[in-house]
Amino acid sequence: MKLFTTANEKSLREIATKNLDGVIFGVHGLSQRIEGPVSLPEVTTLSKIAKANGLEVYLNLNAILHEDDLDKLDDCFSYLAKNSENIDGILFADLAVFETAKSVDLTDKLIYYPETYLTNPGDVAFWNNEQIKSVVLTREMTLEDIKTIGTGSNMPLTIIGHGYLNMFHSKRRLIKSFFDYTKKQHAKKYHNKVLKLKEEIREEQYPIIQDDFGTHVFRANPLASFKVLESLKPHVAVFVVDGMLFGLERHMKILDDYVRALAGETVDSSAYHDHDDGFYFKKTVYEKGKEPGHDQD
Amino acid sequence: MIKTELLAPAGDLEKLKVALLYGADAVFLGGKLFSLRSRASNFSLKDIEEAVDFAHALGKKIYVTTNIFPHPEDMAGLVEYLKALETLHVDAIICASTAVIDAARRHTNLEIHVSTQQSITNHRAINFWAERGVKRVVLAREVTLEELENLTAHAVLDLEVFIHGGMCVSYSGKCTLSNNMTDRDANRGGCAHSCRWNYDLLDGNEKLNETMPFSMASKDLQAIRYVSRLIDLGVHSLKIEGRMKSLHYIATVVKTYRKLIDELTGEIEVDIPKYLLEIKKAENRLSSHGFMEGMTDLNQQLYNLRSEQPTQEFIGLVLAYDPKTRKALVEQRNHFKTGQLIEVLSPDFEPLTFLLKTMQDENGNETTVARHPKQRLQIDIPIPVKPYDMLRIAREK
Repeated sequence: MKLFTTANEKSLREIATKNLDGVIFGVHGLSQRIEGPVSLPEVTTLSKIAKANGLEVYLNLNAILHEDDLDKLDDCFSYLAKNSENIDGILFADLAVFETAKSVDLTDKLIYYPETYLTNPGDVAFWNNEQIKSVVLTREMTLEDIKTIGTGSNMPLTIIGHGYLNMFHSKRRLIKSFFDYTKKQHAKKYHNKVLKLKEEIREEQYPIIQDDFGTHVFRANPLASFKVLESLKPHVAVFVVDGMLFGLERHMKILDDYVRALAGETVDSSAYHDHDDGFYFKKTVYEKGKEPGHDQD
Repeated sequence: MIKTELLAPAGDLEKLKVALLYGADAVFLGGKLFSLRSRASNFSLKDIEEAVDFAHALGKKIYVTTNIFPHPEDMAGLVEYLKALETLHVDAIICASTAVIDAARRHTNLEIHVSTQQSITNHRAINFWAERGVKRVVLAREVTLEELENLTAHAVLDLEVFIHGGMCVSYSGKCTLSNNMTDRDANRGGCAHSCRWNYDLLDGNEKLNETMPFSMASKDLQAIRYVSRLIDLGVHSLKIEGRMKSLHYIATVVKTYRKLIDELTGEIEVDIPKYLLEIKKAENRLSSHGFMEGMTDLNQQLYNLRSEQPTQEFIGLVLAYDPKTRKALVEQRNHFKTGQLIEVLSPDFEPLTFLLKTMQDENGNETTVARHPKQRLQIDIPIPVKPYDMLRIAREK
């Protein structure tokens, strides 16, 4: 199981000193929920540094794309068509990325990362048939589900195994709208700033960020996978630590601990008292007779 | 020009019949399996058979939602279920999961519509599905009218656009608030509406919402003013949300949009304020145009309000009518009494009002009040009515 993490100009040199297998860069305008996205020429520069340090390089093009974004996507793939020798993988969520990659013959580098859609062996088989490189499994899955999918899979699987995972993305600027309604002059001050949401009867505080892509809400506790690392190994090809919201120092400490854990050393779990197991041991209810919501269809 | 389809929701057989009788061209419904509305009242295969027979006899269509993102434990029986739907001659299935789409493609000839749960917002994503045998894409509700103009010019599939009803405030299919806050999987029918709850908004220890809760709740969508443009753009299907909504909601909303579409395509001068007034009778939450005009702002959000306010106007469903005695057998749906001005909602004519003078209970005794839910009453109605006509309290003009 390879160990990857999100990276940027600031963190790359430090990550390069650790015993990781790969890094994931964001690209301006096409990557969301990734700290420090860079321009395409900067991707070239950073990927050379990464390669020189033995790291594989992925790009995370996970934005939801509207019609106006397609020119930006074309520019990106025109560039990658000529400059992809150091790019090993391209994460994507929007199917427009697949179509655009196909036009420049780069689908074999694609890794489907829809966050919530990859939930069963049939999904993996579908994308295997499309001959892309890998898929990223949904985070809201039990360890048993991951094992089931891994056992039957013919393609390498990726998981986001550590991090503050997002659980909500609205295109709407919900913080701005709220301050506009309450006639507070906070709107600009809180754009791109991490705030917290606290529901009226719950104790947890959920990070919330409004940025140019809309409004994002994250889980209250980051996910940690130290407990299940050995169980994941036979089934998962790439394990990703998402560094978002940790700050550089803690991000690096987490990477050190995973490098050690993967080498079979014991990690001090007290450093992760504010983390949880996500859905590894928690089934989400799907019971007939419950009164669910609506709005979806 | 293509004939624009009016597509309505149906939570049960009664609502399905009402939707079709009141003017829907097609209805979407959830079966007992693989549907986001996993409630007990969903349609059994036998119900679906009856629904298909009823719709096809009217020259109309039935679409079945198979729109969950199934986990391994949910996959058993998928192919058998899809084959059963094909045997029942449903007109299409609405899918979100690639696994379900793939199973349908491999094992059946079912027409496939890709659900709004896929949050499709551009023409290339549509074309991806066109190359994989899909017939229709239900667009994300975040697509603006301006984007739609570009999108319809490039897309090679039938497009379905929401025009009315509740809206996920998140991109559909991308929200797991419910999974994380209540252990209920929003993508498997368990959405707990956590986005509509009240929150504090904090910057460190500072509470930024001093006077009212922070809310993310959206107003419902209401696109009366945009239907004309949507028809001109060649959108194939105009969709009403609300499989959980009431019989009266279905009847009112469907009838209103039916008449609007007919007038627009018949090039009859359209009185938009009249339609806005009528649609308001079914509104139990404030509404707005969603993303039709571009990026939303405070006017598309719900603040400082209870999320839902039940409409009390719908008072009874007509079960039968005797033209000789001019008495209707009516099933009570909300409290009403003699002396009230009543409006008849019918698929066949514009709403008409009458003064409720007399009525009798199940035993033939005169009564002045209809108190009990589902109580059956004989009501003197001077207007000829028929089954599935509805009675509601007339609003003062």
